[in-house]
Amino acid sequence: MVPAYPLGSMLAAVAVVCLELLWLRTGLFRQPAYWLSMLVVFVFMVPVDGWMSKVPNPIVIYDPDVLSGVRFPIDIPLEEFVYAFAMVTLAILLWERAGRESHPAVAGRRTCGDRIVSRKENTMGAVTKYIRIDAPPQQVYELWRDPTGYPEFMEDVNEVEQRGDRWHWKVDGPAGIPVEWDSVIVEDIPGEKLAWKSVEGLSNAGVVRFDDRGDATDLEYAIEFDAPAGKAGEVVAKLFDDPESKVQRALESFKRLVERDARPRPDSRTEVDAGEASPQTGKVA
Amino acid sequence: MGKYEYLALLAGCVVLTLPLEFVFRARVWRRPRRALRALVPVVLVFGTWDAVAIALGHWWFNPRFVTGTELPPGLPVEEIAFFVVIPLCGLLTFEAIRNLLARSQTRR
Repeated sequence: MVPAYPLGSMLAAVAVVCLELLWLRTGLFRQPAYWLSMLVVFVFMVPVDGWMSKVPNPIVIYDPDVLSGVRFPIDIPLEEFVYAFAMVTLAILLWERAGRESHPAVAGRRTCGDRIVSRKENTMGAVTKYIRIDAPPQQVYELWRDPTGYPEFMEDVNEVEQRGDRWHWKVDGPAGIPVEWDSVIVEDIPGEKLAWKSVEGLSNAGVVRFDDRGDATDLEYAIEFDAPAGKAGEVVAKLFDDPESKVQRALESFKRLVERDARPRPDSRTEVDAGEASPQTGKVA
Repeated sequence: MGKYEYLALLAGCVVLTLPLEFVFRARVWRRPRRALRALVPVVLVFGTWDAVAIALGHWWFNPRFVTGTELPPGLPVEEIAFFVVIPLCGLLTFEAIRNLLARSQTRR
């Protein structure tokens, strides 16, 4: 019969693997970063666990009957590695799960390659869309953080100018008449979240979240707008006509832009640029 | 170190992995709520297992190296700390490596 400790460790490992495959489905086991991390964890486990189980002065003392009897390396019971695999993997799985749940509509869903991950119903004056982009969140954030690039992927937007802490929008209104308004950033967490709201003119507010999926980013874009009466109402009606597909097209164009930028190029941005760029840098193309 | 040896070992793990938070921008300590949601179940599951194993006499701790402080149901405080510290080190390692891989890909 298998002694208690190796048996318990193996059962724990199997339980954790089943938890991922059958329930959590975070995709963790497909991430190279995870397997590399486990390797690093095992390497650093040797001095730590070696210290704890060192004969003749161990911190933790095992009843020999519960052990497999194989101690390697140093005096570490070999099954400790299975135990560590189960414990650390459980923590990372729950960490991934908790990260995903901050995006309610993405929670619990499998990824769908390049497709839009999920969509919410269009409620009154609000649209939420998700898209997966094959680039790290910091890089996606950098491009989104620079509003001067918006006309490249938002079809009605002619120009966005940075004026102090405000963004000044110029958009094609009904009958080609330009409409302008200002917005301000209300929340800016590099690599994670960017939220803005209008301060003058058309009333609208939005948030973009960048969810780290390893080599990819799940982008959530949510926008709300008021439809006032009169001329402004016509503008809104035109701008936000069929907002679902408009936003979708914008996000798909944005995805192409980012991924074009992420492709190997001699002049592609360096790690320093991608990490600490100011809002003025990182201009799209 | 004597009775604080086990705690000191865990403190060493915390100190050694702390740079990952900043140098490789692991952002685990700075996302405490998410970290709690990952760590609390680990402490509960592995703490329960630990308490049962200790009660059954499967393993115990050298009184020379532990403080002797125990929480019900008979868990040394060092073990609770272990179930927080080691998974935390794992999370920091994972986030740091993921950032490194993502960045190296960006550069290519």
